[in-house]
Amino acid sequence: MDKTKIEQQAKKIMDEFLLVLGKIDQLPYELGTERPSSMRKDGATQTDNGFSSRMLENAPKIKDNCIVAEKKKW
Amino acid sequence: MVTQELLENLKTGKLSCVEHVRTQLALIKKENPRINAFLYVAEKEALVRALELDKGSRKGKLFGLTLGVKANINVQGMPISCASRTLDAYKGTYNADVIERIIAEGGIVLGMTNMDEFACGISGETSAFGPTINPVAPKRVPGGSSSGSAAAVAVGFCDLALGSDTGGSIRNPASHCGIVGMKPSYGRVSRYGLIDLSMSLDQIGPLAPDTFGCALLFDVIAGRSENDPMTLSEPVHVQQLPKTIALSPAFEALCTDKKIYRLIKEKVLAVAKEKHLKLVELDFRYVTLAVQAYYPIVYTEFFSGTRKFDGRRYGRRIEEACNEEVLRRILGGRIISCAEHEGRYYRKALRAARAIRDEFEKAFKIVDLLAMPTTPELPHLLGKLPSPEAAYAYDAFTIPANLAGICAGVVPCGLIDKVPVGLQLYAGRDHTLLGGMGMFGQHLNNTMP
Amino acid sequence: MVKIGLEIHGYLAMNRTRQKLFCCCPIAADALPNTIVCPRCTGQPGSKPMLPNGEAVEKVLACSLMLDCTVNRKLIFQRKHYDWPDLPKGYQMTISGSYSHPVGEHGSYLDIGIRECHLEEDPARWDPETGLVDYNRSGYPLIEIVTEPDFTSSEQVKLWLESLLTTLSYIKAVSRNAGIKCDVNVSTDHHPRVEIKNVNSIRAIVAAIDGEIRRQHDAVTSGEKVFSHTRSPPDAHGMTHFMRSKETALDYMFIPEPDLPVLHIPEDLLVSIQKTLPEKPHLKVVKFQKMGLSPIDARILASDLALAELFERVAKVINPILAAKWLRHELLKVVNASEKALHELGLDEGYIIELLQMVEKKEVTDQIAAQLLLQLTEKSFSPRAYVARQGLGIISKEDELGVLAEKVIAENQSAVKDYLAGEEKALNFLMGKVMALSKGKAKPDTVKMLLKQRIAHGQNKD
Repeated sequence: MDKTKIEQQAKKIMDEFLLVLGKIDQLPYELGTERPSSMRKDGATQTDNGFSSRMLENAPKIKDNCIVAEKKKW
Repeated sequence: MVTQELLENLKTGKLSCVEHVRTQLALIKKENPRINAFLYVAEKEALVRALELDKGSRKGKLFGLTLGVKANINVQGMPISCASRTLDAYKGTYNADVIERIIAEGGIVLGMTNMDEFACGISGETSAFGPTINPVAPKRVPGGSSSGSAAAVAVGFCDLALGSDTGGSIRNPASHCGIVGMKPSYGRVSRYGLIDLSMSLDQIGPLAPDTFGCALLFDVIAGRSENDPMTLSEPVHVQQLPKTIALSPAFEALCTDKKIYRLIKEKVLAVAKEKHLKLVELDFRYVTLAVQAYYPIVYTEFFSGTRKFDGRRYGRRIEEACNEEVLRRILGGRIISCAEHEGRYYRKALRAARAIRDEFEKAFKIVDLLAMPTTPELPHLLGKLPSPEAAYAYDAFTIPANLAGICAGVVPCGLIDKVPVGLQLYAGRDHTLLGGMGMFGQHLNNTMP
Repeated sequence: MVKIGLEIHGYLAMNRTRQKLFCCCPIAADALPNTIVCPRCTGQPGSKPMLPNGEAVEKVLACSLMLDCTVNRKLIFQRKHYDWPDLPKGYQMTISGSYSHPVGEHGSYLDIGIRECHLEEDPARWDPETGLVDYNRSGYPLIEIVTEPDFTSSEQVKLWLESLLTTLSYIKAVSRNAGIKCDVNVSTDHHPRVEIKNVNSIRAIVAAIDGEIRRQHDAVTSGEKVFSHTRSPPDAHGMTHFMRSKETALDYMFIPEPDLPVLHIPEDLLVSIQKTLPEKPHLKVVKFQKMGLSPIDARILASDLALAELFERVAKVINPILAAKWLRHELLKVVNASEKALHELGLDEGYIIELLQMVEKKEVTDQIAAQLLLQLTEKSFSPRAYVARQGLGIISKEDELGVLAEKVIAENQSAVKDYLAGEEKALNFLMGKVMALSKGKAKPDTVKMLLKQRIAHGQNKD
């Protein structure tokens, strides 16, 4: 797969679409979606004791009950 | 009708769950290698569950009914691959909310169904594990991205199925495979456990052989959940059957295959007459911008949602393991999101989506239902993949519902050249939609050849 | 000319809910790695955040108000994307970025401008040397406080940070044990600023600032250009290293969080939080000094809110300087030895006041009073009643004390000789003996006077 070609194609499609959308700048818009509650109330709980081991099972590399990611030095 | 009778038999014990599961497993074993609807068959788990159910009290809204689950919805212990090499080794570490609800009501998960990779497709041909065959029109694509779920229901591998719909991914394959499918209103069904395509547009929804099954599964999976803060309860209201239905010249103009529109219109007139629905004509201004508004949102949100596929905790780094369309959306999403554009693309697209939503809100104050085709063309022939732009235009009838956050569903409408055509309905409320779909379903059962 | 700015990250103390920010995993110290986790805080495919923990929002609001910020009541979470091993979703959820207003902004604290305060989640813990990642911390609520570059020296930063931490402890906002992490920005003589990331203690911050000022001066002296860049946290030797330049600065590609609704802060919540805010520590210090306390006593009493408020109430009925002496020395000594915080000891304030009144009226000696104070931290009882019952009252009658003084003089002739030879210490020794004989109840002034008297009298006799 030619990454540059795909990227250019994506950009072209987006530019075309943006042009079509250009006509609607005057429309009002408010960011964000409203819902009746926006903060969590005290008391919600969930327990799933098996989750941790299931999670680690999917990991490519584990050690000492941890995921092993890359190492780094500056 | 089929589903209602089956459920009755299971509940009374006339048909045992184990026997029912065995029959379907046998059919899957025989036909799935050809149709490729299932990526994973949970043979052992399903039989264990069936046995359990047969031993207990025969209660539950879905008692003994079997389900195919799209491979982007988490079922604990099953491979949730999104039909991609990225996640081909990922086993679900938890159950999606919808799965918990299904299990609680006695449903049996038969396995994971095939799909377009990461839901980025409209044909069912772009899975990393091979295309799905349309059981009703074998030379044509089954549609996508919930291709496996639709095919599985159409051929009878399972009684019901779950799919996901972001721009038509339930309705498109339902139409092409001649079954019933529905996208609930945004927020009606919890997305906890659904692997994201576009967070502000995705919904999980039912696929079924009939409107009874569709409504039944919808009722089980719908509802507020603290696991998905964007969920909303349906406003309580006295349920009434729809009284008015609209057609729109805007949609007629977009339908490139005129035969399809003729068939749709014919059915609408017939049902309106039979069920005494008032017929109205409506016009829409912003609906033609739907595709152009949709893809920037999807690109942006998909890019964001896929950042977690970095190969450190599960699977592989997505950019190294995905197909061309998936990569296109990621790279495009990155371009749109970068700082120099300051969110212009995304905000413009959200503006257009809001305008479309406002239009529909106004429309549903006047009418109960809006009718239109599902796709502007018949499903293309297998292997004749359209260009990205042509594929994107395919969604013109389905995308507006996602952008507006409203519910939409598909009922089989007939055949053109032996290929199934689905009639699509939009409504302001899920139960109004289901009522309307039921009306069309009844009528069609009385008139189908 | 030096300009320094700070970005301070503090772990919010979730005392009431004891839960993470976007999931209900419990907050627990010392857990085995990867045992306090769930699909959300480990970024499992398909997981979604829960609504933000209300207690965390309240704490950030309280901090913003304490720092005199303007609070924004419509808040939008955003995704801040970057690729790093400790970031499970590939983005961090934060209330800051190009799409929204922060929780609090345009504040000020001790003459340093506060640019903004906001709420965000903590990533996981990644050890760069071993590559191991532990997700227990992932999803903890963090407050970020960004200052204007108003600091001019590391010493100023040190004092200010100590004061800030006291202020934040007043409202129990920040977890004392977890400490803070700071990104430090330093610019000298109008050169572009340099950022040092993730400095973990006040001492390290001071060293990093001084080190960076030195490094920039050295660079300029040797003809190098100072350019804007980011440096790593100080290593074991306190050295920072180049990490990335402004040109390769990260583009976080912010988008508003689609999985969460707009966060609305109700007016009545703000009002109720405002009502519970205590007076700021530096104002208490000024007030205490006006009451006659020394600067150091004032600062120590103001360093803990429970102690400060106890002092304020006690000083209403007891002489402030006496009260300060007893609370700042004796009480604190006992509190520190108990290894608990003052408010955890469950002291009966009324009885402390009763005791101090007895001290004020000289009904008991300091020695006895100190013993009683220790006992009051362990159980609740009326000191006055106890003293009466046990006969612990001060002995001030001269005839009674005289007898004791004579006995001590008789038994400690060599000390008497030392005293007569000019050693004042010998007198203290003799006083100590009398105190011991009286089981601590002898009034010290009287004892001293009587000892001097009797010794002199004894001398005259000879």
